[in-house]
Amino acid sequence: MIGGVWTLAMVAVLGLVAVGIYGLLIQRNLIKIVVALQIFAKGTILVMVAAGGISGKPAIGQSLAVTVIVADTVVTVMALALAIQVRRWCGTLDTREISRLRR
Amino acid sequence: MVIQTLVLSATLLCALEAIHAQRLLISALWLAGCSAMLALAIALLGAPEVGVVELSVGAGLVTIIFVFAINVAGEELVGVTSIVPRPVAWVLMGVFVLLLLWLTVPSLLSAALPREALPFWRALWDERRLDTVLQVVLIFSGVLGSLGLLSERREPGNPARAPGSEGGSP
Repeated sequence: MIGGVWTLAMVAVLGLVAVGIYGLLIQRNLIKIVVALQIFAKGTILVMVAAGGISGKPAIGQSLAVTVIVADTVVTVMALALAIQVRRWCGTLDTREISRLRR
Repeated sequence: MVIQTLVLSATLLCALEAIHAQRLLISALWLAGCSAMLALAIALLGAPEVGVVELSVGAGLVTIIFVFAINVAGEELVGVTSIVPRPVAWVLMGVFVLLLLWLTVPSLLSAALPREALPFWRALWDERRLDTVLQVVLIFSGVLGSLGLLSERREPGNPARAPGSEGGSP
């Protein structure tokens, strides 16, 4: 059995991922969807650090966490740029309205 | 242990508030708080380098980009009725958490392997050199992509352009 700190970190990972998934499922505003995606990614960053600590290879886990931070930031920037363009062309950020406009 | 519990609880609280906040700007600020708390938690877990990167990028850069995007796109209050019904969302979230528990609990119960004395900088720059180079390429492509997405088409007879739309290919 591993130490209590890592178990605590894994519980926090479960919480962050659950909040992120819930947000992704219920949000309709494009920017709020990106916020939910960010929360999900924060769970991923924490799980990388925790997995490194649990498996006894902290350096690999930490370097993977840095990779996740970089990739997540690029995804966020692109998603927000797309949201701005959607707002510019469709006049709304509501996903339901956007799918209605498509028809 | 108590400090870690408090910091991780604060991270979860900020995440919940970021989802529940009605206004986009408030949501972005709660997300920044979540990032800052997570950076502190990661530093307390023995990875201060990752904590610093998360604090500067997650709580700093991403928040600035969010505030910029909200300013450009404008605040828009979207209705509270979600596309996926809330009970279905709860069930799907529960299934996801159970799946994650099923995947992680065996590793938590197994004994930890002996610690490897590899420094962080060696893992990043020597062991995963190709990944680090690819990250640089990824950042560069992200910058170019966002500039291309945010740029406006210049009309031949209308040289006036909106401020903040400089740069990038037309």
